[in-house]
Amino acid sequence: MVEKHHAVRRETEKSNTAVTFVPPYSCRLILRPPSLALRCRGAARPVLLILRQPHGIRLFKMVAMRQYQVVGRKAVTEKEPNPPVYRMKVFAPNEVTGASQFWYLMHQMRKMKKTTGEILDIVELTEKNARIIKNYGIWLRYDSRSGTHNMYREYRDLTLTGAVDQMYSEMAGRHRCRPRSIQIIRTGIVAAKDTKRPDVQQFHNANIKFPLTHRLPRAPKKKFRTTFKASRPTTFLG
Amino acid sequence: MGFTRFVEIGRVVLVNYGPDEGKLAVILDVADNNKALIEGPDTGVPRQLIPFKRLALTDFKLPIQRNARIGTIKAAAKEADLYAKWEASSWAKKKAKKVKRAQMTDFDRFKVMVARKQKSAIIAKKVAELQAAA
Repeated sequence: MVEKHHAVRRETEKSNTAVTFVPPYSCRLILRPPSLALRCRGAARPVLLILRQPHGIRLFKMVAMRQYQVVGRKAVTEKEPNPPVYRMKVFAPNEVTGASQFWYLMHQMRKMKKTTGEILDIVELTEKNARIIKNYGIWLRYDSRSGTHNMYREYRDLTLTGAVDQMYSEMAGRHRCRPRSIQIIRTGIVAAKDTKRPDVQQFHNANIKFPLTHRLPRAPKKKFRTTFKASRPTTFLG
Repeated sequence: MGFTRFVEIGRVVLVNYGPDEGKLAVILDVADNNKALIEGPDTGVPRQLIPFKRLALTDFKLPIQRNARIGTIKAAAKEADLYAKWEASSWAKKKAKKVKRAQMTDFDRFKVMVARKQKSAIIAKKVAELQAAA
């Protein structure tokens, strides 16, 4: 509990000093309210099942988590003409949920809320190099049925968002934990020598070699799947 | 009877499900016990993480390093004469046959039926001749 939002808080505090009321934001506010712009942008983007990223990498995603950088502050008032601007990186399936996450987390740390605040900017952060597999470390906090726990998990993936997806699935499977009760504290790429989990470490081997045992033949398309077969399939494929 | 095909870097695989179904690719790295990083630059398989459930391992292996680039994979495949060897394998031949049969029209199937009848007539005639001679 002491560790609560440890890293997120540090992030916002850092950005608090770095990002303090930049003029372009005020200009944008006069032109159009960001909440409206946000809604329009969110609506215009359809949810794709197969995403193609800039490097020609294909990512299979059923529920694609994305990473957003959200910038927001309290609304300008006469009393507070220059409120501090906060920046936060959140994981969400779309911009609307991203902004919502921002308010949820900010509300816990500062006396701020959506009705008296404004989102100044929201941009998606994409993976710099999605061509190689990296080890991602995820520090998280989650509410179980009996208490709150901190946790550190490691995943191997091409993208951070992929690792976050894996984390949500694994937390659901192992701990019956829903996304709403998980808060990501910190994420990072971990060098192979700094990894902690043996199930990640075992793949740090350029000469890795293992067979695939008991293979069931797979129909090339879903429509060709059958429950019953005329003959017993061969499961040993050498 | 031991295993001869392994998941390893450079192993040539056949994708058997999804948008790249039926294409050859190469394993470039292993992500975890379910997924590998593959790419098939000559067959149009984009670099991607793919579950082993969607892969079939072949007998071929290319001498490449982990996370190899497109050029290296292409060069290694050319050096090993991979595609010619694959086409010559009975696995590829069976696959080609299956595709060909699936593409046949009703008239094509009729022609096959006629050809088969002609073949068996010739065989029967020859067998009768040989039996008469014996």
